[in-house]
Amino acid sequence: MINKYDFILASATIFVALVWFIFNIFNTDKGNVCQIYINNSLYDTVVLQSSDGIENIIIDGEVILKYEVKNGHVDVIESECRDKLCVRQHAISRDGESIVCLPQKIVFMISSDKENEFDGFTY
Amino acid sequence: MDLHTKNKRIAYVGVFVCIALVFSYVEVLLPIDFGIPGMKLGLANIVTVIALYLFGKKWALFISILRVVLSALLFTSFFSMIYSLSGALLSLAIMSMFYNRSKLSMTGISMLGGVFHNVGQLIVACIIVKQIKLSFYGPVLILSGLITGLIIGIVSISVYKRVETYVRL
Repeated sequence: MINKYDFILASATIFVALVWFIFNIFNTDKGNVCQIYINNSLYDTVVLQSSDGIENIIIDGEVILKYEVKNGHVDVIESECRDKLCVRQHAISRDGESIVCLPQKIVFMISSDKENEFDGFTY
Repeated sequence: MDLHTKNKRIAYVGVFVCIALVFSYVEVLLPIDFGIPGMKLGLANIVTVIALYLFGKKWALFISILRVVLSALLFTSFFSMIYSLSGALLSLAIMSMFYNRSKLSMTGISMLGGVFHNVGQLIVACIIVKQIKLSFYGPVLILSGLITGLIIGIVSISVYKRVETYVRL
């Protein structure tokens, strides 16, 4: 059923996945901002440290999605889509992580705006 | 190709597509959840793999496309169809390239298919939402593709060995 070439394939694949994973860990950090895109256009930007609470996304007067910000994490808790995959996805907090609701074309994307931080300025 | 064989083939393709649809439906019912977009068991790929070895790549492609389109119309939505179709097509393309040309067993081909199924879906997801950062999920999707491919492969070989002598054209 399984021969040694399968093992070689599996080992090579695991190796590639591990390398990619380590690369990701070193390249990302806890993000501090969550951008919400609807239909590929930016709808809202949520600053993670200071926006704890439950928020609604309202389109045409209807609440189509509910999300919660807590402890620097964003989690989708309710959605009007048919398969509710977005609700089941786990809470995100790292730069690059995302929650996607494909039917409603809503994307939550964590990013960090490190480039905008400055330590001080003088006149 | 005589008419008898043609009819036999049409009948088999019909049965295979139905079985694949049932697998798709059952998979939605199972309370197994991984919490990451695109991760699923892919039970219907059992049919795809077996069809590949029994009937060849052209028919496996036909059965696969039929299954994806029908199950999207019946059970999910147009959006997830694009998503599924891309995974299924890429996975089948890779499997067809190697299934009779390499020393991998059916399980190995299925693992390859599983990995590329997830990779294909990830690529299309990145394109649709225009965010390369989704590739954060690359490693875990590759690993889960490998593991589900392994399970699907073992089941496929078991079924294939028993059906091989009967499903002959």
